Amino acid sequence: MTVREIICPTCGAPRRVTNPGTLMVVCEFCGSAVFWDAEQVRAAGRKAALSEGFTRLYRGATGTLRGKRFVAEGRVRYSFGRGFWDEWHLRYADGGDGWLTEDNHELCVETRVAGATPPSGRFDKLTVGGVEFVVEERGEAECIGGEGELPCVAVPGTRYAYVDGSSPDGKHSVGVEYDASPPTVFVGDWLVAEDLTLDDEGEDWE
Amino acid sequence: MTAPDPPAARARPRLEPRVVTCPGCGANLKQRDEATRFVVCAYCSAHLELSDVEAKVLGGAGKPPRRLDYEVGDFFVWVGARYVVAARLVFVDAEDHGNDGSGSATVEYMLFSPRRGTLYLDHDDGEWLLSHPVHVMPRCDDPFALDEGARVETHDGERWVLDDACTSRLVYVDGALPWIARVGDRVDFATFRSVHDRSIGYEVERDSGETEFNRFRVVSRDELARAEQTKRGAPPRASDEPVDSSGAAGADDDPVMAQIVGARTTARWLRWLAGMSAVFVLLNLGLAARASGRGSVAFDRTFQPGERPVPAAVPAPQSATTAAPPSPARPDARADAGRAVDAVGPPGPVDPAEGVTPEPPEPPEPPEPPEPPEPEEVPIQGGVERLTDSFDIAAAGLVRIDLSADQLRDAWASVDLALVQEDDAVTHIVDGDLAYYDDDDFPSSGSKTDTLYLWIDDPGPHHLLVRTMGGRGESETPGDLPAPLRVKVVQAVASPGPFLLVAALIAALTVVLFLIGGASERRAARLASDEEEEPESEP
Repeated sequence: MTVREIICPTCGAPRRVTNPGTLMVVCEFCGSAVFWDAEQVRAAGRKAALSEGFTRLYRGATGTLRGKRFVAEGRVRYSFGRGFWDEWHLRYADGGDGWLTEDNHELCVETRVAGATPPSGRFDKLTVGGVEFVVEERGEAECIGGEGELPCVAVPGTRYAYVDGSSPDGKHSVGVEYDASPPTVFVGDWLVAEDLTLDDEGEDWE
Repeated sequence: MTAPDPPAARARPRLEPRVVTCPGCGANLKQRDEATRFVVCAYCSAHLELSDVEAKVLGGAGKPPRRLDYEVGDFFVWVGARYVVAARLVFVDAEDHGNDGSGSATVEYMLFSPRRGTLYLDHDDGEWLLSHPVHVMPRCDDPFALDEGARVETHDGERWVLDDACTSRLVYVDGALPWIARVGDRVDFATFRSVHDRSIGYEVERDSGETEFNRFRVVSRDELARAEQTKRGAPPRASDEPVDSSGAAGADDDPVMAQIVGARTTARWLRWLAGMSAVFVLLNLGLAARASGRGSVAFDRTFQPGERPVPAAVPAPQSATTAAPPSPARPDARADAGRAVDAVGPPGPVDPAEGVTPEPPEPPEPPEPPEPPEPEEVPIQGGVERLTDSFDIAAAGLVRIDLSADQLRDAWASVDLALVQEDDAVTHIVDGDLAYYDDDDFPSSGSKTDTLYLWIDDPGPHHLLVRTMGGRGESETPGDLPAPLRVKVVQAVASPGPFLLVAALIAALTVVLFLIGGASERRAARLASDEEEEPESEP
């Protein structure tokens, strides 16, 4: 196992990073976003820490998602103007990783589809991997912040356009993020509560 | 053996509610759902937009336009998960410009469970609807353009009929929401009902260009009452809390609440058991009634008062009281009948023909003075005996003898019966009593009927030896029958006795269960009352 030792450029706090895919961490002490750029550790210059709330998932949570063990390594929060959604980065026990999107407490497990290209211009439907999707929402996302370890650089304040949709049978989701060229496409499955089991589900409302 | 936790794993942090200071009044507002983006100040009703670092006032709103059934902070338990009323929204028809919500309106409660997500409880047109978001889409381009009654199929194969399509306007909101809601927001709704079951529905909602889908079901008031709890996690109201496999939510860490829930659960189970016991009582009573009605009549005859014994068609008068000569054809029957009557009446004279070996004559004794003559025997004293015609009992089994005297009034009657099998003289002896009085002291007391049961092992021809007696008023001197007496022999019957016995035992058990259940319920009510008297820890 490769372990990287990094020092927060802002506050000097040490940090051990075990996941080789991690590109960004949020310092637990000062809340700064720290990322690797050309083999150097740099601070994003923005406070990125998110307050932790009464959510089902939390950073460091372990559990089982559809039979696969995972640990929630980190989270990125985005604003779409009228609300938030969170993207939890999961590291599976088999070494793979994925994203669990939580939007208004609905959960969707997503995987990036390499090579998928959405239609150009405005579209209401798209097909990915032979599955047709209908666009449900489009807008502009702004990264609010993050926590933990992430396999990408999510600098607070970064904005990009997005398109979200579902398959008509309601089982699958699609997300197109215009944060790069070509856009990044994710497909996933909508989850029901029973699909996810946490080792520590926490307590009910006080 | 489990795999060690990965390096990034950690224990769930203790979560404290996020405190937001209202810019309008300075009140500290606790927000437990960290996804909250919009909150209405509980003190000054200011509408606040929450960013991650600050709260911004969007505007203000007054009191709810109508009395709402539930408060923000009330709890519900659905399918084992505890949901809090996080927000309340009141919608009116967008075209009803003068309606501020005090008229016809739809009240929507947003229910949130950190474990299960969001549910919506709507009170619309007298119905309570519980809905949850789905992503299944209809097979039509624009569900909002359909006419009422139009049929639509969704992509999961369900078929629906359009119940209502309208545009609603938000006129009131409070609580906390994960999105920003503004009074005056307009939302398009298309509400469908299942073509098979109107209690199930599907809804398409369009808000600011975003389309969402929900499925809902009608919730009865009883179910709602069972699911609801008092505000801020206090003990449940008097209504029952539903029982599920996970137990009552919230009771695990509250010993008093656990006791209340336990007592209520016990009471509920005892009431259920008592109810089931009552059902079994009724069932056994029904079986007893059914048993009583079974069988076929083998003999039916009415004996009249003053009716004298008549020669029976069957030879061999077995009466011992009348000292009838024995039947040479059936000596055993005569003997049995004699024993029968011996058992129920005064002994008859000794038959000199019954095997008495004469002894040698003794010297004559001096003549004694003659005894005074015995009084003349009056047949009516000790009863009147009658020998019935022969009748067949077809099979071994239980035989019922029904005695009835419909005209009996202020009198009593006693009946001794010997049922004699004519082939082998097996005799069964039973007796019955009837008495009925109807006067000022004893209105409608006693019974004009009696029922006797016999088990017959030997089917075949039988006859009855019937001895009757009776009296009027309070006379204890036996005399003739005071009223016609009907004797009916029913064969192949079933006895209701066992069923009645079981019914009585279960009825006693039912009473005990009810009493214990009531005590448990009272204990739960007492605990709940004590708990409610304690002040809330949170304002």
